[in-house]
Amino acid sequence: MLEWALISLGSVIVAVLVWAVRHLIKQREQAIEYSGYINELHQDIIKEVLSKDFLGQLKNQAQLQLASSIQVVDKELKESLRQANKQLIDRINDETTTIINTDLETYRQTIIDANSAAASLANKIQAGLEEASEEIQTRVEETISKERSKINNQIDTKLEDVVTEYLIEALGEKVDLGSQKDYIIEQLEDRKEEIKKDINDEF
Amino acid sequence: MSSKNFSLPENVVTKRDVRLAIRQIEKLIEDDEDISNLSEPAKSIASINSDIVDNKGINEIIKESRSFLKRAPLFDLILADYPYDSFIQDVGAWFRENIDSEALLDIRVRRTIGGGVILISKNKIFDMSFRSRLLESRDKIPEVLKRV
Repeated sequence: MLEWALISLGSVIVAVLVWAVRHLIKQREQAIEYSGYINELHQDIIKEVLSKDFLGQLKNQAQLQLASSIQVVDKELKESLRQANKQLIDRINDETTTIINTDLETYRQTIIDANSAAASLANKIQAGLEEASEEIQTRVEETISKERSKINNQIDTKLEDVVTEYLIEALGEKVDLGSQKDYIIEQLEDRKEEIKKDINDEF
Repeated sequence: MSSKNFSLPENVVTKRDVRLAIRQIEKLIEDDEDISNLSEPAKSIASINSDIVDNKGINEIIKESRSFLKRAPLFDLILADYPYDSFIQDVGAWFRENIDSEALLDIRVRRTIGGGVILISKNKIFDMSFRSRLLESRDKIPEVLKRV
């Protein structure tokens, strides 16, 4: 019995396996058919897509879009360049103005300092010249005064010598003091008070 | 006796006379000679101060004379020539009468003053010489020369 059961089961299993193989083969064939269909469809689509007209249209559209894009980009680029250029020029102007103003201020201050120094120097020179002039004038006056005094002294000395020589020559060897006594006492009388003051230390 | 009583005679008016008198009196004492041998000025000094001589001796005269030389006002007189004694005494008398009763003179000679006198007092010089007078009028000399 068991054998029969096993034989029956085996037969069923074989039958199932055969059915399964057939079914798989069938499905494979169907898949192959679908694959061919898809390939054909694909080829058709490619043919359609890559047709000359389509490509021409697509090219034209692309060219148009490209031209349009280029125009936009060009416009934007120009605008950007213009703005950048303007900013650059403004920046350069600002920087240049700042630098020039700074330099001008420095030069102005330098000129003011130089003017001030020049004025101070001029004042010093003027003062020095005035001082030197006064000093020279004073020295010249002193020199003239000294020379005048020297000449006067020389004249006085010479005159004194002349007078002395004259007196000695004129009076001879002997002076008559007797005849001068009254004159001398008269002179003493004239200066009596001065003499008295002198001996009493009243000067 | 006080030194205030010591005095000089009228004929002794120069410093030289007083010094000479002192030296003579010193010699007189040293040689123990008689007073009659003294010079006239020394003799006059001793004579006019006889009280001092009598009371304190002749030595006191020397002492008083030296003291007198120190205190007496001295006047240097510069003259053009050596004066006679009468001239000195007259001028000395004028000083004692008008300036100081104890005035002493010191006579010096300088020919170059021409005449007149230069008086050197305590602190001052009084130039009353002819030379000085001529030089004081030096501005007039050229005019005089032109006129001559």
